[in-house]
Amino acid sequence: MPAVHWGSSSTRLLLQGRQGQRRGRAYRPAYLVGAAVFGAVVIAVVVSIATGSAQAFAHYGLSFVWSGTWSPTTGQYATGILVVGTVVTTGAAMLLATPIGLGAAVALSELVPRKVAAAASTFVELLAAVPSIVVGLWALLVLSPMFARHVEPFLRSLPVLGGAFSGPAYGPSILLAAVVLAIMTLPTLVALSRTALRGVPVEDREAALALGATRWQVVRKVVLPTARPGIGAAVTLALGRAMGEAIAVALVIGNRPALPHSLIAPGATLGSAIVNQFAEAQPGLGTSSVIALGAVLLVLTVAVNIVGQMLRRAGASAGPMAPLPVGAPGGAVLTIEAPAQSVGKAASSGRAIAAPHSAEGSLPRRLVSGAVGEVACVVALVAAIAPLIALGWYTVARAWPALSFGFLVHPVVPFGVSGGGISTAIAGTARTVGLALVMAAPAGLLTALFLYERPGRLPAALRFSADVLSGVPSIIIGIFAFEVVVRPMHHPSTFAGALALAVLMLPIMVRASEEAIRSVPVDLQEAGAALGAARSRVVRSVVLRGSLPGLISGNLLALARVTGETAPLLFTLASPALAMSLLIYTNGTEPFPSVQQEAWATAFVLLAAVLALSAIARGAAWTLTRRAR
Amino acid sequence: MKRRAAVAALALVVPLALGTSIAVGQDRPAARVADASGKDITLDGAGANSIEPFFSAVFYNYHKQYPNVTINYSPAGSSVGVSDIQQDTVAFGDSEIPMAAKDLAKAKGTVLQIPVDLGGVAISYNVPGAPKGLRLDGSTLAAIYEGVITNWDSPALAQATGVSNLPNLRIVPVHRADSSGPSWDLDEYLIQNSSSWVSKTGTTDPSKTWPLTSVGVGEQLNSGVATYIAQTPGAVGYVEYGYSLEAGFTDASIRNKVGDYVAPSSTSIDAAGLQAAGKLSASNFNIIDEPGAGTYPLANFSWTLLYQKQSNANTGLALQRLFTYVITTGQLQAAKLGYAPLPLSVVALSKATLAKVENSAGQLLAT
Repeated sequence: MPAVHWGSSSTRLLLQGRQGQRRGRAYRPAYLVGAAVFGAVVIAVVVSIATGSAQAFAHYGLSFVWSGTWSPTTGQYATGILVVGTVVTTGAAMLLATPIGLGAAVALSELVPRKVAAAASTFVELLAAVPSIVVGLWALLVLSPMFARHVEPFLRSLPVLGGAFSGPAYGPSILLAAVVLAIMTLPTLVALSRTALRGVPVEDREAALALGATRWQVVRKVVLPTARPGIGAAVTLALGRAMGEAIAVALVIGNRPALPHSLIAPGATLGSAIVNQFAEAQPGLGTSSVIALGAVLLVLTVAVNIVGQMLRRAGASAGPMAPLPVGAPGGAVLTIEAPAQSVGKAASSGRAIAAPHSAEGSLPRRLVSGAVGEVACVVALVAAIAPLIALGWYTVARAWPALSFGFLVHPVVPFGVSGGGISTAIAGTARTVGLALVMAAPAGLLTALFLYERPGRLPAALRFSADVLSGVPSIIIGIFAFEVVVRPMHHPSTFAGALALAVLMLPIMVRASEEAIRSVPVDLQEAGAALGAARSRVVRSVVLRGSLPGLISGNLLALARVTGETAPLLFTLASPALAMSLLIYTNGTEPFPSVQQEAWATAFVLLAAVLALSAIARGAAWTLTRRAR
Repeated sequence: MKRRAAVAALALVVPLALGTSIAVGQDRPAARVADASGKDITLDGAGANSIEPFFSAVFYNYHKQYPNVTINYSPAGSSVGVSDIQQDTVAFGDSEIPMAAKDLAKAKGTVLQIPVDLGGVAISYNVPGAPKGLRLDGSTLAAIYEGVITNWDSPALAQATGVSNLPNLRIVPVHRADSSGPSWDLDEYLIQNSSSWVSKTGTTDPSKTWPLTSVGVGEQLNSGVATYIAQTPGAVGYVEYGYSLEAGFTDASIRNKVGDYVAPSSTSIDAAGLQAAGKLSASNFNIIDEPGAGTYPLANFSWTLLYQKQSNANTGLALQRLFTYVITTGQLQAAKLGYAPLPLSVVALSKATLAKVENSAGQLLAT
């Protein structure tokens, strides 16, 4: 740490101390207000969903939750069937994603050379930023026909297993939705699991190796068991994200509100039903019933996220922490702290090795089984990344012929008029996202300062609710913005869309900012205080300055996450031409090849923007960590 | 320190600069011609998906002529148009099926319902090797949507269509997952023409939500149905004729009231509209299976919905001018987009209804 630099800054602190004290009076009220705003947002989301759904629950009672009647005209949306659909779809997605994600994480953390692992991990974390609408577009136009023609007929023809895949092969199905969800959640799952695995102390691995374990045995007997809570958290948080995904699922699940009898049958989930039904529900009971679907989804996802966050906290402990920020969509900048190993635990790991060692036979045999396991993990790594590379390739290939400078700077025109572009949508996205940033950034920073300055239960509760809020499905935040802005103001607006995005950004900003602030060494702050600087002055000149790259990185990650959002804008913006994501959603579903090509080109621009934002965010974070070393 | 500041500055400036340059690059018409009000105004509308190709073409031309008027239309479906107007969250709604008395009762005032276009619903299929204009009647269509006829080479289908060499391919019937005008139209046609359909669905009351969702695939909006048909050999579904025309689909010829098998076209849809001309109203809107040779049986008017009392007189005037343009000049674009121009008597009805728009004090707005 360059002492001279901070010394000179401290001298300035001393000289300006008194002035700072006067100005600093606003500091405490400011962060209190920030925290109050954040608390109010959390409460407002819950209250708006509760009041919005009150009429439905009053009318149908609690039996609404397990009802099997689908009759939108009377406000009955077969909640029970949708819950089953949601559970089956996300369950299948996790069955697919968990082994692949875990294998990939093991490969990244334990098997491939460190330099390759670092590059691949950064890549995986970038993939986590791919907007769900782009995955949805690819699934609809590429995967769906492929499933109808090849995948589903093949699965149906399998002996024994085929029973789970009976019936006509339509393409859109529970299976396709599950595959899409698995692809979408894999980057998050891999990144979080890898962080958990990396947290297992080197000493434990060395101890096991010293006892004669092979590399694979170290993985199986030491690393995986020790990292279990962190892995559990990763799977649970990915599950929460899958449950809440609405748009991509609505595009590929076939929208049949019936109990699934086969995995290749069309189905419906709570999220897909909300996408399809919210706007057209009959005012009054109908709308209230759709919001009640949202309430059920909210309860489910919050429950899953609470479990996930508790597992995450169980995985962390008082020991040496290695916080690694991960930009997880559907989650905040999550940090899995390394579980500290007590000596006793390490010893027990050793015993766990020692016993099977003799039981598992000769070294060659152990080496062979190890090689099989290791190859499987590397295959899993490829399987986790390959679909998203294919997606990128398709997007570029299909977008290329439509991309031109004119496409970027000309406004959206109707089908059949030539010379159109997407400038209206680019400007709309920039406007909405920019306004959301302006709304969320101050509250996010001030809340983070509150969490940093205040010990006790209230900040802990706020921190926890930020983590949980970051897992709330974006479609529910869209309903929230509709209820509090569009309905009272009587028209959709950029402001309504921006509010929804701001609420989505807020928890990410809060947690990322707090993380960045905490990374500033305490002794620097003490030095400032010792020179007589007021707390506010220390915060401004030492804490905020020191954490600036981290703060910017966190805000950019939040920005990247919401730039690709579709669901919250669906009910809040006046026209699909006003956001790139909405334009992809409407154009991608048009049957006209030229319009589909425009959707691909829009997807390319959106993807480039989101990946650029994430890359810049990571660059900022990188300079921070490098400086700290 | 400097490096850090530079990174920070870059990180902040790049996205902002991108956003600004893009916002500035937006098309600004060089010469601004105002409509009579002269003020910048934005009209937000939502509703029928079927009218979207027509609306977007007409609105685009209107905006070119009067750049001070910006129209946003969200083609989320007829029910969205009704629901949004009831909740008063849009300046205008649009529905393929006009609002019934019970819908109107939920609105926040008197709603004017104005016929603005005349369209048809095509039964489109993706069957390699099958001829155009496959002949289908009500009971055959019902059997397909009931899941009774399941293969294109089934004898029942060969007998009904008179085409015996259809391929051995599974029929995938596609219906709308959202509630929509085309669903209502086909349901009404099947109710009128198939007793088995009535007994299967258990009602003679046509529904905007597809009544038999257990058979086939549900897709969102015309676009979703059309995309599925385009992607899936064996698929058959109902879409607004405008979509089918643009997508180059093969459409079935549907048996009409007098026993003619008629394919959708601007002319045959026009014939259905003419049957209704003179007696049309928001409560007497049903033009499914009208008589007459050459009349296409699946046709309907699309209805724009707006409040009679406009709290903002400027908005009221702008709406009045816009829809006067839609029902007159705008109709010139109907035929090439797969719609039929409104019959003159219907234009007169629309004009008379539009003239009823009032300001908040209840005075008529001058057109």
